[in-house]
This record gives sequence, structure tokens and C-alpha cells, in this order.
Amino acid sequence: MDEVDPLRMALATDRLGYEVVILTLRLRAEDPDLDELEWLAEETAELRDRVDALVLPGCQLEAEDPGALRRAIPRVRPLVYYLAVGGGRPGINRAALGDTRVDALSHPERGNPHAGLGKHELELAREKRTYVEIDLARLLRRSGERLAWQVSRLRDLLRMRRRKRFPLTVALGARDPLELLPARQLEDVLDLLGLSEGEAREALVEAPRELLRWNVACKHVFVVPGVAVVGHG
Amino acid sequence: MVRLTSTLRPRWRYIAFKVWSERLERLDFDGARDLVLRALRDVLGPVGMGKVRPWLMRWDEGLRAGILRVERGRESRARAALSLYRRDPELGRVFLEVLGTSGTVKGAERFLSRVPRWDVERVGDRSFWIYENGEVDVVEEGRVVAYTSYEDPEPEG
Repeated sequence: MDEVDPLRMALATDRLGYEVVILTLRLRAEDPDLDELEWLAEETAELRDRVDALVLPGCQLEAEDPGALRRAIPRVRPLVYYLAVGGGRPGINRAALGDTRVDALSHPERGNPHAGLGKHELELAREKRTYVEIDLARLLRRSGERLAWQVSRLRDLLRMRRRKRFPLTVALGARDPLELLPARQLEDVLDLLGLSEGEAREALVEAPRELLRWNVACKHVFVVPGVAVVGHG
Repeated sequence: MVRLTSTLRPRWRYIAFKVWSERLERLDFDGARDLVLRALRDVLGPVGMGKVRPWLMRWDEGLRAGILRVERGRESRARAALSLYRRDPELGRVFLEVLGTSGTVKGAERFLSRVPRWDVERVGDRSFWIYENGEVDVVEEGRVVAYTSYEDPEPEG
């Protein structure tokens, strides 16, 4: 979404039938641009009159060093309704899963020949209620053999989820309207990947609702200009 | 040709779909058929595609939308395959949006009427595809270069 105007993304998701849309900015944890994030929060606040879907600001932090990630989280957290961390490295995966202020760890499998989560990480995810996010964009941008590898890693993640029951959610990760999918098609993709109907519903509907309810009700207070204060800790 | 009794005849489902793509080249019936078959073969493989038994029934070149017939019980796989196909050698980045699935061709045709309408305005080398809900595609040399939106100017006074 960095190259597309937020209203266009909101209109496109609204047309495809989504109720709640989170527009996320991808920021480097070493040097997060908070002005950009405040701009996004103001933009999403203005969108509420234009689209029926509820549009909220979010952020995905990309970090190379767990220390930088820990420093960036408290700065970014009050500005967004959804905070994800782009995973892959073992240290980052662990730091993200162990922090209750992080909502989700995205693509923990990046750069790994497996799901990227060990026994310790799974315990952390369960204990701290940090969601593991399947980033579908990583699937949709691939084809042929690379798509097959990505599917095998997701199957690995699903196998672990069935054994250990850690919280799981799915994000589209679309950068422009061509990467979007209607919700019904999303269910079909998850079905093809091997998720049961119940698992797909849990990841697509119940998990995001629970996340937002939790953030609004008791976890954080939102005082960004243009964003209403919707809950107090 | 032997005419099969109704119990022996295969059962079909009809998927209405629309093609969104980065390159806006003319897409006729043969082109659309090849695109759909490429999508199914790329994601499901030849055997998976054979099981789906795809057949392009209708194609509206103006809307860039059509109706695909598939075997009943396999429509979910077909829809997922269309969703996962994102890069085409002829059209660049693509998005095959499934508008709906029906048990009859007439039912599927109703979904085609829901495709958003658009107007094209040309300014110099650029053209602007303005959709009815406020979405705007900026096109240069037959290729979408920006996705933006249109806001109604506020009434004066």
C-alpha cells in the first residue's frame, strides 16, 4: 500500500465486501518514521465518511536486531490498532512472540526451510497470546516451484498449529488493488492449502475480531490526532 | 452421438469471473480461454485441471468478464486456482476476481451485471479509467501505472 493512495485501497476493499480493513505501513524498527504513521492515522480517520468498511491504521515493523525492535515497539504501539512484526530470524521471532504489545508475528518462515517456529516460540505464542500471521502476499507473489515451497512451509505451520493450538491469523498483505482478494476467494485458497472450514473461519473472522476487541477494550489507548479514543486500559 | 440420460450426465457449476490486469490489452474469447486454462494448469497441474473439466462458456470483451463451466464439487478448487494465479506472460500482473458461482448459466449471468462500470477520459498520452465507486486507474501505453481515487469536488457556497 506504500505506492497506492489509502482511499483507493479502502474503496477497493469495500467493493470486495470487507467489513474491517487495516491499512498497514511497513517501517524499519531501527528508524521508524512516526510522521508517516501519524499521516496514515489521519488519512484513515478521514476515510470513515467515504467508505462503509471500518478502516484502521496499522504497522508492520521490520527489524534486524531484537534490541531495536524492543525500542521501536513502545513508540509505534500507541499510534496503531494493529502492530505486526515481520519475522524470519530466530531472535526476531522470539522477541516478537514474547512481547504482549505485539499483535502478530508475520511470516516467521521467511528464510527458513521450515515454519520458523520451535517449541519455545510456540509456548511463547500461546502464553502471550501473540498471533502468528500467515502473509498470503508471499504466496500470491510466487508461482511454480517457489509457490510449492511456500505452500509446504505453510503446511508445516498448520501441522504445528493442530498439535499446539497457538493463535493464528491470516493477512492479505496486498500492496495494490491487483493483489486483493474477495473474502470468499480467500476461503477457497485456505481450503486448497488444507485448512478446514472451522480453522479458516477462526483465522479469518474470529482472530481479527478478537484482536481488535482486545486492543480496544483493555490493552492500549489511542490518542492519535484524528483517531477517536475508543477504549481505556 | 449417444444422448446420455439425465442421471448419467455430468453436473456442472458456472463461475462468473472478471479479469483485472496491469496491461490492458484487448482480450478476445480465445485469449480469455487461454488465460483461464493457463491459470488452472499453473496452479493445479494438468491432472488437477483435468479433474476440474473447465470450459469457457461466455466472454464479454467489453466487461472483461466471463462464465467458466466446471465440474460440480470442484468449483472451490477452480476458484482457489483462479485466485492464486497472479502473473501472466501476456497480461503481466493479473487478478481473476470471482463474482459468484451458480448452478445455471442464467444465474451466473446475473453476476456479470454487478461488474462496476467505468468511463475512460484521455489527457495527452494518459488515460484515466474512472469507476463508478470512485476508483481511478491511470493508464500509460496500455499499462496501469497508478491506482488512485476520485473525490467529488465540494459544492460551492
